[in-house]
Amino acid sequence: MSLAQAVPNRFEDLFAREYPRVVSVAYRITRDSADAEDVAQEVFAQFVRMRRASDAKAPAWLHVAAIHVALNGLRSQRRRREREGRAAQPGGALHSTAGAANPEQLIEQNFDRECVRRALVRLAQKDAEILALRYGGLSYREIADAMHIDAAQIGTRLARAERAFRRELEHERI
Amino acid sequence: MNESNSVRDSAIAATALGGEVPVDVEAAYRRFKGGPLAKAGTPRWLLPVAAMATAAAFACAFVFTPLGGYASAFLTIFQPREFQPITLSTADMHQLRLFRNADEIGTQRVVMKPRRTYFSSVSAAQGHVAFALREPGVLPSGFGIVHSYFVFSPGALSLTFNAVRAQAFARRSHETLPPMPPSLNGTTVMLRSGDVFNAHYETGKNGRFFELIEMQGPRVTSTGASLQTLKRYVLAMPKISPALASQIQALGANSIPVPVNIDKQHAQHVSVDGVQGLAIGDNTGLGAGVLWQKDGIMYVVGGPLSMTDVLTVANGLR
Repeated sequence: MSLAQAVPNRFEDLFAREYPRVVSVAYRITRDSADAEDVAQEVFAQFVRMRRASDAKAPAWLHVAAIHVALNGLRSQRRRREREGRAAQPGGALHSTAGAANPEQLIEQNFDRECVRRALVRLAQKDAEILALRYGGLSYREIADAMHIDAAQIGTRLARAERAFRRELEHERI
Repeated sequence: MNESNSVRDSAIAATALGGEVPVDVEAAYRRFKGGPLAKAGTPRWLLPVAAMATAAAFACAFVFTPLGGYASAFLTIFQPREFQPITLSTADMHQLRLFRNADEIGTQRVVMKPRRTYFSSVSAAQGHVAFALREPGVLPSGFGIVHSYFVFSPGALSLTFNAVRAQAFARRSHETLPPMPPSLNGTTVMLRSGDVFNAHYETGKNGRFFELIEMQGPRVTSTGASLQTLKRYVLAMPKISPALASQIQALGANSIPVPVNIDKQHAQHVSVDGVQGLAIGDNTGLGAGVLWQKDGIMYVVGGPLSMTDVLTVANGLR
């Protein structure tokens, strides 16, 4: 029996339906599943204090909040590392990643993750948002709802964000 | 940009940002319900915050009650400039629940429903608010990582007093209500709220947070009954204790009354942001808040913080 079937309550239903999507969106930024789950927990904690589950815009709010919480977390991590003089060390402690067969692969994956994170943090907020929402699995319609923009603009904006992201990524890899 | 570049950019983004994340929703929900984040909204620190919210929305809360009729006319005639505590016991508050539903004594209508919009920054929110927004120059230790901004658009609510409804309510509730004066019967009071800005700050770690609210003062109009008529009607209501009645009688002409539960909270006037404000603390010391009005804008800062932290934030607005 699913959670939503077991507990027919609006909030639980919303949680069951949206939690995986919030984690997915957050993961585009954190590149770490445990961190993404922490972000999702935080986002739902904020949600229960501010919004009602019956709100038609609840999913859109959750998706955008996931991005902001994840990006804010990255920015604070970056500031902390800069303070501690460790900014040049990509990744800090190595995270184990599914599919990493040996230490070399693990190092490579952690380095890539740090590149992606830093590239996302340097992007304009709206570009980071649209990338995380799209690659987090949301439809154009859902992205439009979350970002309060016309769905017809999504394709153009997404292409622009992908271009900016590629440039930032290239900058990171130099 | 040509198409091949676009395809390449998409492919790079898909590679860098793709990937599936397996999620155990039921385990996540158990964690959520059992964790400190979900529990962060529980009572003790919420008390002063609730008082803040009550104060900020005081006109809304009271305009649809007999007591509110008085407050409405009061605000129509006078420009509020300060907050004044009205102390109530838990028993008083319980008794006043009798008047919670305005439909019992008239017809209420949402004339314009406020719309809440999320913004990612104060500068983005500023374009949607008709007054200059201020934000904390100083945040308590640990705050600033998580923040959210909301703007509520203007709203309007009305209540038209109806003597027949009031009599029917009296019969159902077995209460003896005072006869509604002819000049009050049919009077419509209208509450109009202006733009409201709400900034929410969190530590991002342990569920600590605080709220900053900035709002234009509410404006209330009455189509008929005078202040004195409304006042007499309110104070003749059953279960209005003599102590409460005397506090209402003694309210200053420019004061907005703020209900304070004396069993759980304490209130005192303080100097804040260069003017006089009202500080409310939870008796456990776990939460605090302060309200004040300056240059026509009402401000509230509150949350599970020490009074020192709350005042530091309030005095540091810029």
